[in-house]
Amino acid sequence: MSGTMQSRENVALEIRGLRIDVAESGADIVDEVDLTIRRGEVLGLVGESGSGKTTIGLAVLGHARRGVAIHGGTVRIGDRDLNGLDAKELRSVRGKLVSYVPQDPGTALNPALRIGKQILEVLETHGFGANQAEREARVVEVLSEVMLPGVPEFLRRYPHQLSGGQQQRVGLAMAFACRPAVIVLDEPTTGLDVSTQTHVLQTIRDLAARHGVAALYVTHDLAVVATLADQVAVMYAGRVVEQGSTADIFANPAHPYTRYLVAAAPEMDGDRQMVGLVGRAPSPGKRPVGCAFALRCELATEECVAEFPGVTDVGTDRPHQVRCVHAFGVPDRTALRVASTARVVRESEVALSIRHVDAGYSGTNVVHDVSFDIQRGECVALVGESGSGKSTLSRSIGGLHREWTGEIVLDGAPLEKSSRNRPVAQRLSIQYVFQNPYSSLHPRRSVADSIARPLAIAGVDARDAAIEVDRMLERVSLSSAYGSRYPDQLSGGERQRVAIARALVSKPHMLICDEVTSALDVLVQAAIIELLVDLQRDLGLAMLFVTHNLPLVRSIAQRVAVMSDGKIVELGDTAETLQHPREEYTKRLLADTPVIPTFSNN
Amino acid sequence: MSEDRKLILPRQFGRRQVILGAGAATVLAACGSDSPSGAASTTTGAPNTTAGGGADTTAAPSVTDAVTTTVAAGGKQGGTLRVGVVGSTNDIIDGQYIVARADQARMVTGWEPIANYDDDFNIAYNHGLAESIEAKAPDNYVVRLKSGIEFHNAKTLGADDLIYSFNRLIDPAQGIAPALSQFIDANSFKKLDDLTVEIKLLKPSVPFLNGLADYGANIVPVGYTRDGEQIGTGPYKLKSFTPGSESVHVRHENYWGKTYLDEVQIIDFSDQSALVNALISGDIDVAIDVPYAQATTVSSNSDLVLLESAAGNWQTITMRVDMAPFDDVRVRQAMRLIVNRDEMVQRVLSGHGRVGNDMYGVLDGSYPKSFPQREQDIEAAKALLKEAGQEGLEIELFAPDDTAGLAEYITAFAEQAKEAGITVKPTVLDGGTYWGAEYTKRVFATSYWSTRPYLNQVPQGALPDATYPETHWPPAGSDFEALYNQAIAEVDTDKRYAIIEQMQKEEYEEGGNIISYFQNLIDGHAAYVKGAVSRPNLLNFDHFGRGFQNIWLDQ
Amino acid sequence: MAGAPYWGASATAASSTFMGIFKLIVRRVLLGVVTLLVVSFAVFALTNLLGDPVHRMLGRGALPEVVKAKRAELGLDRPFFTRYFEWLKGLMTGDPGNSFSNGSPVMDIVGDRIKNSLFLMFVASMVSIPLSLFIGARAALRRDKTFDRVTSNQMLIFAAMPEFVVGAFLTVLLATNVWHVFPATSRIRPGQPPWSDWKGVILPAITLTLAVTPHVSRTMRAAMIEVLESDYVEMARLKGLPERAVLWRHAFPNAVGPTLQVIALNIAYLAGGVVVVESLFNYRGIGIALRDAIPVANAPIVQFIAMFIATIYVVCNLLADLGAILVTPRLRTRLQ
Repeated sequence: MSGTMQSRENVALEIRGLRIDVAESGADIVDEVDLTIRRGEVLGLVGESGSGKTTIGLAVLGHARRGVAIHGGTVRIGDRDLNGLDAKELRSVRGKLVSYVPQDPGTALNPALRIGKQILEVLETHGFGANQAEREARVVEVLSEVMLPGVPEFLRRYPHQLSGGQQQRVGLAMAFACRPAVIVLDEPTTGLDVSTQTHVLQTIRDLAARHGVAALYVTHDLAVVATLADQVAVMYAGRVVEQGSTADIFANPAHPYTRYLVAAAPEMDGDRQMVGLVGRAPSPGKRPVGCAFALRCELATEECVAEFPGVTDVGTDRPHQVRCVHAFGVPDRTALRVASTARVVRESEVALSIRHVDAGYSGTNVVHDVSFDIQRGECVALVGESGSGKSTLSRSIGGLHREWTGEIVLDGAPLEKSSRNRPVAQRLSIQYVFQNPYSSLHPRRSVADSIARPLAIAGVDARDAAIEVDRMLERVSLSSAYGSRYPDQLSGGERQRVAIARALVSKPHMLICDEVTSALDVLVQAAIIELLVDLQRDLGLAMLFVTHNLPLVRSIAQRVAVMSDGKIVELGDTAETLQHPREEYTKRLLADTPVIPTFSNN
Repeated sequence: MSEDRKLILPRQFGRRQVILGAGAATVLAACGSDSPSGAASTTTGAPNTTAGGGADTTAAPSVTDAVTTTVAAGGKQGGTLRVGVVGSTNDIIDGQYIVARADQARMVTGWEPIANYDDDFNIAYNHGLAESIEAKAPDNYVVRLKSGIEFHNAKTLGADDLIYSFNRLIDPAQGIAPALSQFIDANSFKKLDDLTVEIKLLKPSVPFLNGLADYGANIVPVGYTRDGEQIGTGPYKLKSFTPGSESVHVRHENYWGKTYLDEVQIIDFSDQSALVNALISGDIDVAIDVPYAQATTVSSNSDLVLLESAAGNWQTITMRVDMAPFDDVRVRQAMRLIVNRDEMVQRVLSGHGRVGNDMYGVLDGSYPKSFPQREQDIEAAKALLKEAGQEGLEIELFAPDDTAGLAEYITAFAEQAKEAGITVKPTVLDGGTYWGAEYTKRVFATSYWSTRPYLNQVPQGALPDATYPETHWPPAGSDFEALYNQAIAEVDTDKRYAIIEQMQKEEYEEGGNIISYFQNLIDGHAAYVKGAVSRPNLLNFDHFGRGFQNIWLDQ
Repeated sequence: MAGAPYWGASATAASSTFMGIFKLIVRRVLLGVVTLLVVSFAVFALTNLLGDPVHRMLGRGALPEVVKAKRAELGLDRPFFTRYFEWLKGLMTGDPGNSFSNGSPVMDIVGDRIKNSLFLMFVASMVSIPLSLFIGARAALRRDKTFDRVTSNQMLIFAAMPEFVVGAFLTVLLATNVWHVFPATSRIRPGQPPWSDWKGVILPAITLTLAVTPHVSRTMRAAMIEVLESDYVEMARLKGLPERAVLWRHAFPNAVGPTLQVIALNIAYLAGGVVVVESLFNYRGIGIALRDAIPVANAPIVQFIAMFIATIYVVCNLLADLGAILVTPRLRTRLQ
């Protein structure tokens, strides 16, 4: 990572040998972290949840969360090592020299303070400008930099009176207010609609470039990194396993894990199946001596297990560092470039028919006159931004939302509005999998009990139910040992598998998947999509796949329905629609969706 | 004990009047023993007071003014006395009519009866407004008032005030003392001169004289009303009164006796333990009525004095002599043999009382001291029950929840009854229910009484037309009522006592009361409060220091 | 821009907020009145079950004519609903009737006592609210450290102990046996303001304070912990704000909102708690008046005090709701 003298002068942030521990046990959360960012450059720090990327982000501000301690190493901004500063000196640096843009602006802005005040207080704290008037002028200026109106009416608003995108812009304004040298952005666009995300990313890029700010961009979203970052560092289990220029990382990933990440990323214009990877990274305190990825790696050999590989520079004309003895090795699964198999609808029998459905809340309609069919064995993706009405529609079909009119027919029989009024058989034959696997499972019920519950309702006796539960667990690639576990002993992906098993056990004809992967990491998401594709193919399920994530659609759905303002604006074959959208809205949506660009192999 | 209750029944001549003494036509000069030096010690234990009244030897109906020494010379003049007493917003102030203990304390500061009792419970005048009361016949009395006595408003006391006062007492609209109206009416009084009144009774009654010495039979000025100015002749005149809060009484400058204090404050407390705390922390100088449980707290404190006085208040278990199973005298006798009276004094009164002998009127001269003390005798009781065919008897015994002691009394009795092989089921009812329509109808129940002379008590509960026929005594065919009528007309004390003894004998052998104990009065005061003496008494704190005139502060 | 505090409320926004709050107050007050009407009926019906006041007053020897006359005098011979509506009318016109036991107007008896009780509640609130907010906030800051452990244990102990135990303990400690610092009982002279005997209010106020502080401080601690772990407090620290600003500007106001409801409930609880505490210290308030009135079925006093306590509950809850709205912009702006 060492550069020339000249490039060293441009270094804004230099992290060397950073180690951060769990305060109580001393187990490392991250270790041996070396990162360098130059002025005006964006470094994308990529990793799964729990990989330690946020911890590093906070350490750049000299901050460690409760129960976490910065153990050693240097975090140098300009000529100051933040790890050597006392609390008071740190306060003088934070917000001024280095600032932070949080993941969720909705919770990171103080709900009780007007936003003008929240921006102004950074300036006041650091004595920005000569007087209050200059500080107030700076508030207006920085708001215009993030393309927000600096008018009093706006400044007086409280965070809840802003949209998500506006909130994040306020977060950016706060971060840029004191013109810092370094800015840490922690997944700042998670939860934003694609178009908002695109605009926020654009703003970040412009500001960083214009003011020569070094940006550390923490994310799990490869597509965002690919479009935004100059450099990329990939983290796994608390270590940076690969870093280099964005082009090198995407075009020529050296570490198998990076390859998996790229393979798991949904691809909108390609025609291949997403590839997932089961298992999870070991948590702090449980990490092996050797390479932490060895446990999941197809290429792992004994030497991987014996010792953590050191840093190797595999770059040709620019640094490209990797910690793997099998650099550039290609795991078999990542090499799969199979065409998506769930393409052909075997039967053309209508499973679900939606006719002129309007739905809303207390008289206000959010779904307007929606009609479409889903065939047996077909998956229809329902995409749209938040507020488009897609969830209301899917909940109406599932019988979870009662305020709707029109007709929904399942297997020739019209559905009652509330699932409670539907016959048991009908209730069982339409199953719903929820977005959040953490709240959808009963915390005090074992996995087996949760899965067996629909059977009990249907009057299946206990022994047969037990057999069926095991079969279902196997079906979702979980061993029967999982039956006795409780939800808090499971990872997010495992919970979602259990939720799917529970849905499948009553042999439904129709499965509604409501943003089922949005809470999951990319590898897990890919694995779940793989599972759903298999299930749909094998069981001939009709499926409604509700998502805001357009690229995912390509991997799973035969047809896609694009929803906007409560209406289906476009409905057609997935590949056709994504490649040749007819409607303006679809076009815009596609344009705003970040995709991993094709990097030439240099 | 009874005044511990928040709810106290109105004081009437019938129910709550406390009248004691030999009560003959003869009223004896009392030997004054009011001086602190002559007083019984103010120790903490139960005073070693003999139950029984004073001797009454003079037969001639002559009346002599009491020879009285008030407080020994040397009492210091001046100061304010703060008296704490359990009281409530329901408190009232009246020269004649009161409800609660706090009302008692206030009444005695401002008003006085024409006669009082001495330490031996003979009629005296050292604290009374009469110079003499002459009994011309059992139904004819002449009252001569002391001259020169002034009311708080400087008006001089006269015969008209006495007549007005007694008419007010029997006025049904006032509801004060309806029982008195069987003896007097508005025409009973004849003013002989400015200070002398002749009273002609509607029928002969020697016990009537005791009525004149009652602490509630006070003299109020003509025209006195509850709502009007609070005027009396007592040592302190009312300055202010807020029910449930306090009253302030200032010295009556022209009082006919001697007073020491400038001011008396009677302060209401809602809770007995707060009252004792206040005494300990010095918020008050006197605590009226200290609960048994806290007696030691006061007595062990060197700054405080516990004042315990023998009193005649009694609690009884009542058996209806006209109803099964108690219509069989053997069952009644068995019940009286079952009781362990010493244990009752310990358990119910924590030792603050004296053993009873199933007889009442303990301070009266006629009290039958010669009757053998009845002791627990389970074997005898069993034998009697067997004879009566009542071994294995099961019966319910009732008590109210508003009178401290009664619930403990029946519980203890039920346990003792077990030893005799019978089952007594103690049942505590809420006071309203208990004293309601079923009261006096229950076969096996409880009651409580303050003390009065034997002949004054009998019409309350032991005659066919008794006000409260709790035991429905006497049994049919008894000569008890005839004896009573003889007794109240008999002016000769010895002869009267002889008749009384006959009546008492009948009640002792066959009566329906199980009287296990007499209760003591317990008060506490700061050591610097002087003048209160422990002696057999009707009212707390040495009869409230006779309206606090005897009390002084040694500060 | 200069001179214009643009982060302050503008006049128009303020006035529309004010109108919203005014409408809300009107709505809540109406609701409160309806609640109190329902309560009034329950109170009146229940106080009729206390027993027969005439019987209790005149005792067992009362002549039937006297009883009858007394019943008529107290108006008890009239039908239930007639009495209820007359009483209700009296309440609304400020005449809650006369005491059964001595005929004085109810207001003469309880007027001063209400002042006394309110003063006691006020003192206890003024001490306990800041104290418990402070303890809760500090315990949250020092989570699992000595201050937190000690106060949490103490608060648990105080919460578990009934007032009369705490009061008796304080009396022994500070008034009677150990030290003679304060009087064991209060004595507010008739016609004097409650603070005339300021020493006498100290022990009852401490007792009440100890009764409510645990609840409020525990709520505050929980709320504060949640707030301290919030993203915006972390954000405030990451902005480099001094710790004082982090705590008092960012954390504290957000923790107080959720605590307000508990504070209000506890103040309302004080209105009931005074019943025990007043007797303990002979503090002349409504508690003692209630205790005096119930055994003799002195219905007018019981009714008035019950309605007073009910009103305190309603008012406290109203104020808590308003307070929560005022400190919570999300709720406040909804009113505009």
